[in-house]
Amino acid sequence: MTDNQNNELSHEQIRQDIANLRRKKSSQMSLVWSRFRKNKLALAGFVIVSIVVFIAVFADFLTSYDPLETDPFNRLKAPSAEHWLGTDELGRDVLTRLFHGSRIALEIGVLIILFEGVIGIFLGVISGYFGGWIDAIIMRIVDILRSFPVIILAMAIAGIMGQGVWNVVIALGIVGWTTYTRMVRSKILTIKEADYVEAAYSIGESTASVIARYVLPNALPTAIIMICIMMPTALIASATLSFLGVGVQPPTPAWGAMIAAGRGYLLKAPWISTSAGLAIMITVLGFNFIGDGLRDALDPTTKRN
Amino acid sequence: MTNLIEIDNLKLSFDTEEGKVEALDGITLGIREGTFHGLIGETGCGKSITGKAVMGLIDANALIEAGEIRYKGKDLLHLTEKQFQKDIRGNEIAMIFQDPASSLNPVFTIENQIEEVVKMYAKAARSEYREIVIGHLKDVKLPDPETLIYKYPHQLSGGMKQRVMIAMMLACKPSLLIADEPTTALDVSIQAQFLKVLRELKEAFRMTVLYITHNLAVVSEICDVVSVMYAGRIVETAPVGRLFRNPQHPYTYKLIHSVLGVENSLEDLEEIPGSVPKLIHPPKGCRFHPRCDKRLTICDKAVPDTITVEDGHSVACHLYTAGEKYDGL
Amino acid sequence: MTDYKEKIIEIKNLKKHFETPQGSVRAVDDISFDIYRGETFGLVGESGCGKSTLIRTILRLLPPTSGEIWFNGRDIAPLHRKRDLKPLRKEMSLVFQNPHSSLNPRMTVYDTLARPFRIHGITKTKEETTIEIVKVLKTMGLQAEHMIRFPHELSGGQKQRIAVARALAVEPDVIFLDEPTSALDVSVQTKILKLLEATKEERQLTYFYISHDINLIRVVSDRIAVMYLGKIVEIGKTPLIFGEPQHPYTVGLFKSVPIPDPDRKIGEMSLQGEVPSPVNPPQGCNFNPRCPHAMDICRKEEPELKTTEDGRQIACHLYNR
Repeated sequence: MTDNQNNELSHEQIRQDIANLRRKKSSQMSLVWSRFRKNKLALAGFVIVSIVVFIAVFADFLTSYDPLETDPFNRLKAPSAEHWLGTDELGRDVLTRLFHGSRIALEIGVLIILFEGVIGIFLGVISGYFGGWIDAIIMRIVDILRSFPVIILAMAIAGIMGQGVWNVVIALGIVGWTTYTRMVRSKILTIKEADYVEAAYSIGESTASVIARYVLPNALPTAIIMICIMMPTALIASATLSFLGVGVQPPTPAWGAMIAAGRGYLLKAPWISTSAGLAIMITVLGFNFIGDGLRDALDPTTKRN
Repeated sequence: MTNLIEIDNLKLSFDTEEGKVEALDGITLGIREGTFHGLIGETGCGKSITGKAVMGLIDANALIEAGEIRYKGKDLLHLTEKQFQKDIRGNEIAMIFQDPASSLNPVFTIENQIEEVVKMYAKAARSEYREIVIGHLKDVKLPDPETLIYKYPHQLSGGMKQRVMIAMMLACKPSLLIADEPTTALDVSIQAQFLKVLRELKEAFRMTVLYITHNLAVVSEICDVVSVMYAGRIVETAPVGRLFRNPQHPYTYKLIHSVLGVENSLEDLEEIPGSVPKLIHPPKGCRFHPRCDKRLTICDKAVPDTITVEDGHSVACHLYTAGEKYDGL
Repeated sequence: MTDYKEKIIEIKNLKKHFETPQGSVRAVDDISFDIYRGETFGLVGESGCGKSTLIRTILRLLPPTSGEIWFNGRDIAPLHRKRDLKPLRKEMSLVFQNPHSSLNPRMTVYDTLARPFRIHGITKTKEETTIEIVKVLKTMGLQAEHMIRFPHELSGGQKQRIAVARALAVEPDVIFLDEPTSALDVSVQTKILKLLEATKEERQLTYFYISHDINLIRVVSDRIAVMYLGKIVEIGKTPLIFGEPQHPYTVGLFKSVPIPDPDRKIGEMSLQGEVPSPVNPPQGCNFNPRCPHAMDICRKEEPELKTTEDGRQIACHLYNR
């Protein structure tokens, strides 16, 4: 191979090359984003979730009603120009409560995911990478916890610890991290066997470096996707708990609680339960679409059926 | 002798994220009854796709743009999946693949699996099935067939599994076998045994085989006629002796001289500059022209026709288009 | 043919056993041989013979079960601490078989090649690293602009060149090559092999190739060893072993190789039977069940690797009298 005339690389050339490298890294991100964008369902999911987030942030300004203000003279009114989704059994504007409920839903959802995710991913990496007795112990704990009926356990814990958002998070999180651990562990096990990991050791990388530079970056897509997929689970679990009257207490507007409250009026005033149920469903769908879209965008090589 | 399979100007493309991949561009191939026809080429040349096209096994996102595939005179391209299953696959055309492990069902014994085929195709009484199965296993020279029939696929080695596939194929007695890289995953000594069995079966049953591979040595071992594929086109077809001794196409020539035989050294080996083109925007004209040292000015403008240089020996190259035979490759 | 005189690696009675639920797998079963500085040593064997395990044990990517590995004057077999093993990573490196899986998909070519330079302190600044990377890319026939590519943007041949570049970056004395071209197309193989030859000359390296491709080993190696079920059965200079194989396994193996010449077909003397399970190797010489010349003693006693008159080493009762 013939060399360039100028064997010495000028400093300018080097700086240029390093700049190119940085640009390359960020173009990887935009490639993922463009793939994501092309997927219509994923885009729809993104729009849905964006709307829900917007509503959660600006709930105070979107309607003129107070979610807690009761109005005994306007109980169980059907949807109308003044109350777009009608009123509930205490005369509160359903739409306003729905909007504020999104705040609770997302807040709890995010907290659950952070709590479970941090514990679960960390233990998954340790378990998967080091194997041996660490793996055995962690997986046995996972097995034991997963054999508990989650909702009942959560009710018991919340019962002991009392009301409040954090207690819901802990109650669900105590078992919830196990899903993360399992998925991450299995991904780590696959990565561990990859040639490039062995290659890394063969050039002298330390264990810490191998985990940081070779294992984690390849497990990252899995972790990201997991978070999107676990959000619906978290939402539904917390809605279930509030439906059962655990954790978040009235008069705080939580979607699950709203469904429960509306139960007694299903024939007379179906809009109470229905709207809350639909809210949960749409939000969950949105996250599901994003999760699927992300998975396809991050790894387009897996064939779709 | 008639052609069992006629592929006529087959053009096939795939729609992918990056664009349209022109996988097959005018494949014309005739396989004579009783011959082993080799289809050779490097990665991405389209040889596997050609085999799958005959079996109707191409992906849903593939577009057949032109051409015909005729089997015993009947059109194959426009058959439905159901028609393929009922009339063609198994009893007329059978296919074996590189990885036998994924073709054998792990939860059934060897006997069960071959029996399934016997049931469908042999006119025999139930009580005779076992004998027939053992008979086929003996045909492929598998040791101790009476105990083998009770084994599960995971208990067999790769080479044995491939031979079980051949035994299954014998049970359905197809007229044509398509073998897609059947020995690539096997050790050299196992490969030798497999090729030997295949040769013996060829004598005994007058099998017709389309043998797809990238391995020139295997082709010289077992094939009668060879077609060389490059980037979705057939560049040369010839009887195996002529192909090796007198290749006409520059690519074939380079290919044959870049294979390690038993006597050449590293310095003797030819190199082909550049690399195989991506088929999304293939080179214009002859697809090999960017890498060809015999390139003429016409080569990047016109697709070369396939010219017959001798009986049974055809080549697609502008060196021959003018009707003159180019000596001295 | 150059006679290489200085030993760089001496293997003595090396064993590597794996314990499985089915029993003990003797992947490397009491192997002894030497490698000389500057030569290309080729090890040929079929799948399951233990060659991959052998080089990984010599490289100390795996701890040996027992035995000695003398490298550059010291026994590296008993080392087990990370900091003792790290200097080895600079002295010997490995090129992997599959270029599509031996590069981290999330690292650019730059990142992948920067690591060996940084780990061993060969370069100190980003600019020094970039210069070295460009140098080694050019050695491999690639351009500086390839630095910014990710593996999936490269062809098989290019990926393998990066893998070789990585192995060269640590500035080793010995490079181990595990089937370096078996996953590549024929037209690419030749280029890589010639490149490896040229590089070896330039940098005065020692190569250890393993492959199941007998012709490949013949073409690149100064000396050949043949391995079967954890044991070395024959070693010697390439022209000798290839021209006149003696061990029945070697003979059978060489005869099984198809020749790209339609007039020369594989004859009758190729190997019969299958390789036995490594968990349950045969008694005595582990090749005896498949050996056309097996004698009584072969079923009882394992033959030792002995040097014969013509300078080869062979483990066979036919020749070890």
